[in-house]
Amino acid sequence: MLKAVTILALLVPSFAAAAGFPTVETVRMVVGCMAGLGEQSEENLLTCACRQDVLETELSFEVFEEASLQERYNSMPGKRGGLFRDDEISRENLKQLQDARKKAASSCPQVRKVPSVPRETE
Amino acid sequence: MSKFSFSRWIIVSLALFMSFPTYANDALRELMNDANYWVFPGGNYNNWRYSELDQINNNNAGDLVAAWTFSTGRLQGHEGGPLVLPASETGLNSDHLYIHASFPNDVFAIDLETLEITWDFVPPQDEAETVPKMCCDIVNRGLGYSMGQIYLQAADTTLYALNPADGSIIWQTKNGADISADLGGPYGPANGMTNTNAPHPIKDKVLTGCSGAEFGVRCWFAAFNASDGSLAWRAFSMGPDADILFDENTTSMGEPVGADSSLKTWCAFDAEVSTGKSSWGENALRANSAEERMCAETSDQWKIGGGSVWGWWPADFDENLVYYGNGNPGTWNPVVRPGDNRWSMSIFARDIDTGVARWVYQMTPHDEWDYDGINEMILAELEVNGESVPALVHFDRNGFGYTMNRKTGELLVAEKYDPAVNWATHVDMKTGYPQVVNEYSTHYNGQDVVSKDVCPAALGTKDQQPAAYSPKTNLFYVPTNHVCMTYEPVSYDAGGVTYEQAAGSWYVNANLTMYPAGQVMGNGTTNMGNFIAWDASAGKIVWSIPERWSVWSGALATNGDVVFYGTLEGYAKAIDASSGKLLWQFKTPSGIIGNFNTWSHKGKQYVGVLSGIGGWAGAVVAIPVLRDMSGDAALGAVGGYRALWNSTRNSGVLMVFSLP
Repeated sequence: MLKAVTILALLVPSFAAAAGFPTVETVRMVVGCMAGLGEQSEENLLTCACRQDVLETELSFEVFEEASLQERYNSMPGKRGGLFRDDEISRENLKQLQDARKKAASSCPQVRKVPSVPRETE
Repeated sequence: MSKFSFSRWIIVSLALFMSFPTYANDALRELMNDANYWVFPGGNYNNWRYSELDQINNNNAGDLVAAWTFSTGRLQGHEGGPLVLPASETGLNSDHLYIHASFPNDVFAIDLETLEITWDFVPPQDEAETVPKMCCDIVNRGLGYSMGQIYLQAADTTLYALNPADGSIIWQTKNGADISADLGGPYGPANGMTNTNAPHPIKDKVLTGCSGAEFGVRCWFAAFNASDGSLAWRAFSMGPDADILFDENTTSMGEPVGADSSLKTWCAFDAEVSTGKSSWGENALRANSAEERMCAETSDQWKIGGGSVWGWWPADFDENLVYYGNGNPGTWNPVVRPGDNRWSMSIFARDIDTGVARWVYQMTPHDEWDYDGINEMILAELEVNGESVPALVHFDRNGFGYTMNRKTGELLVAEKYDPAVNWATHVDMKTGYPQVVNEYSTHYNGQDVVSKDVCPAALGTKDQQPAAYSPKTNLFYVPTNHVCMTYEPVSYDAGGVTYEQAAGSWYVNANLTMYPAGQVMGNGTTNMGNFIAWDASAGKIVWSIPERWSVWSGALATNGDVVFYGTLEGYAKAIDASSGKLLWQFKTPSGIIGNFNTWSHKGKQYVGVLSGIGGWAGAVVAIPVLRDMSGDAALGAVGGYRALWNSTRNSGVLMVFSLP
């Protein structure tokens, strides 16, 4: 019994880590998404949080991690980049990530902001 | 004045002259023994990367948290690690940490009291000239320190001695610009010579290397005088004995190498008989007969022979020897350079004062796979076959872990440290010659033929990322690659760059693809790296931790029975030194290819490592050719994702961890 509990205790955290996105990565992605849309604002936060939810539904963190390595490193010069360019698993994962991004963008169109300043009339 | 007193005067002056370097060296060695600081790239002159600090140990390492970070603001790969010096050495009021960046190789002095930058130094470098001549990412492997000077070996070959108090230049010299035309010089980025290595201060000298084996440079190992930056000696990797600093006492495998040991091994290339299968003979024949390896006619290809030097070098002061390895012979198409191509791919033991080689050992004669021999050398007292040996341990790119007697150059152990290694069955312990398998011999298979399933890949079973040694466990902790390749040497007829065109331009002439070693071993595994513990006395893997990607970070072992390493996904990991059990991991902002160092400040132990492998965002900014391309051309279909990495500062970040 004690043994079983120990095994469970060991399994649970590692399973949780494999399935979910760590907070640090989620925040990094959302902040990056807002920067890509131009600025940190409430509207962009809504857009990016929505897109992040889609991504996290579509992809496991494992796949995301593999795909983002492929994306970041495959154009490195020389042998180093070759390691990534040639890797089939992460190339497939990158396709999944790109598809998930497309789905996230179509599911979560950019939230528009109505300027609080009246339009100037001529 | 009597003759007697005159000669005594000479002796006294000589003694005074000699005492200065010894004194300078003693002071640094004393400082190295203080575990609160980190003053030499390898931690100590044995290159152990081991610290006596034990505040962080295998019971509490799981509690580690990020203590502080520092972004270098530079993109691309960040290798090497910080130096940590006491106030007494720096002329400043407090302990300082010194850290470097990838191109253009900034140096930052960080006050450990305030965590503010005391000074920074950016060496002026011609990016357009230098960066395109760097074969494999624009890295720098860090700084050196001795005699009140911080040393930086910048990419454009300038070696700087900086004042640790304010970053002002004490002296600077160009490593290679002084080489005369009859020796192939002057060398610099314009003709393919760059630097990536950390300068290594040893005694009164600063030792530095050479990169450019992919650009037809005849590389070297050089010692500059720390006092003024003048050249003390330079030893080329290949060429006449006067250039490679070999004398009648230089041995290999216990025998004198004799005159012209290098020149004899660069054979003339006969295009008529070099198509298809090899004219160099069956591997088994030449492996077992020195006569089969002799050239019918020699060539002068050694003049662009490669043999670059960019690793981590220890010193033995009892023997007055410094140890290093060098890289591949120029052009990756082996067919056009028959011969053993000595002394590329070799380990050297050289006199620190004169540079003359005591012994040399060529690990990969006539390289056919780019198995550079540049990886670090580690010195340890080991028991081999029941005898205590002053050993040198080296994990080569070619997949063999070598244990040698560092005094004599005797080969004691040569065993595979990755079971996937297949290019050679074994190393003949009498001759030291690897027994190459024809199937994986890219020369035997011929030009424009794809040799398949060669293990390891050109990355090697391990690259420069240095291993650590713990005298407590007597184990070596080794970051490794577990990758195989296809390799196609490209002939001149098929468009290979010719010998005449080569000097200063790309001179590779091979096509490669890489994949996990599990595909060749047929065991269904997909991991491309392992972090292993190695018994260098027996030549055996003690345990092995599979990693999805190659492990490109340096390792650190401590008296707290913890070993640190990092992964390309960006995880900093702490494991138990005995069992390899994972104790802690932390996701850093980028992949880790830096080396872990440790120090303590005000009674608290810190562990630091550079996170930052570079990648496409960096490539666009840092490489002029890519910068001029459209986003799609440079990056492929990644669209607007460029902004993400820019905004999250995909630059080198020094991550520093401690207990809460």
